[in-house]
Amino acid sequence: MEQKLIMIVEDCEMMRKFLKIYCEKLGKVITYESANEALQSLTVKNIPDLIVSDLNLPGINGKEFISQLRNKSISKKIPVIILTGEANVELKLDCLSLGAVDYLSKPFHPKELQLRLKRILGQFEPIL
Amino acid sequence: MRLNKHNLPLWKRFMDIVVASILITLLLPFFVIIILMIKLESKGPAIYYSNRVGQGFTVFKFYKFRSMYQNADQLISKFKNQYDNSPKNEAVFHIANNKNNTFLVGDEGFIKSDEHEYNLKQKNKISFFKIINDPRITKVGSFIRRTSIDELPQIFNVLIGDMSLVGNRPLPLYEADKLTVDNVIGRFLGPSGMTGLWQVNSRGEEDISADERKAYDLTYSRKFSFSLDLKILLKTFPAVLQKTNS
Repeated sequence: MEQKLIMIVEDCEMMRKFLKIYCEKLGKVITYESANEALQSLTVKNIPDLIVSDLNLPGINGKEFISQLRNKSISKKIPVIILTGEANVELKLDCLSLGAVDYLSKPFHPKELQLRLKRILGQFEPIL
Repeated sequence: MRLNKHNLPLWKRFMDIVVASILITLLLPFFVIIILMIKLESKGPAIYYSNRVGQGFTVFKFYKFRSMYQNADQLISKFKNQYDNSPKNEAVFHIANNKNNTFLVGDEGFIKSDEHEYNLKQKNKISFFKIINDPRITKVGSFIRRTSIDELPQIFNVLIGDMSLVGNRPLPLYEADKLTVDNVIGRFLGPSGMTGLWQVNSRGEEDISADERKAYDLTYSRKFSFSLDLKILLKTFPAVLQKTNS
């Protein structure tokens, strides 16, 4: 089976390292400190199967990041999960409206994140 | 079985295997006495395990000598609920003049979204809690806890590579979950262990705050080395004695 590519965009170094280690169980992981770097990295040969992004990022914030991804033909179909310290429901609704497929607040259970990622990546064993 | 589950530096894994093997050999007769004491006082197995979160947020079976009556685990949520609802933990919530407040549907009807957010934050505030004068503890249990003998079966966890001799304390799931926030999550990047920085830097378990523990854990994750491990190991014995005397 082809290895999935997961992109993590997170400005906190510790969180970025942790997510990298944890998500490596599901596929190859690339990490970026800012949305700007992440957007610049997107080329035909480097399209992730999934993006996990923080909201409060330096420069382009998470909401703007989702919008920009949706506006580019190369990236408009990449599923984005928001993982943020903001538990605000309105922010959550905004992100989902902009096209994020899921929204998780920190603190979070890493296994829950892993299961949500698995579902999006189609790695779930069918129950029936 | 993987010999080095967490890809620890070789010096660390080697030290764990050597020291744990020596300790198990030396302490075996003592273990038999403790097991008999526990079995004679109360029903149930002498060694029990609980699921703990270690390095990389891996969950493993964490062994201890049993120091409580057998049904003790079922009581923990009751105690925790009492703690959560105690007056010192209550706070008055003021909803600011927010006319655009969103309502959410919950088990108990409608709740304003910012009130829900506040409740969540309050819930997550407690990441370490301890029960003082716990009635669940047996007499032998009280002794082996005071002397930290109850922790000795973790030498087997060290031997099989679940954790290290020195590292951050493996946490129960309900405590670990609350530490998955920016900056603090770094504690799970370092090795977990039987003894660590905060254990040897506190005079007794109660005199160190949750924030101090988190800070020590983060420091260890970043800076662990052979010499630091050796220092912590050497300081552990006086720290245990001091705890026993206090």
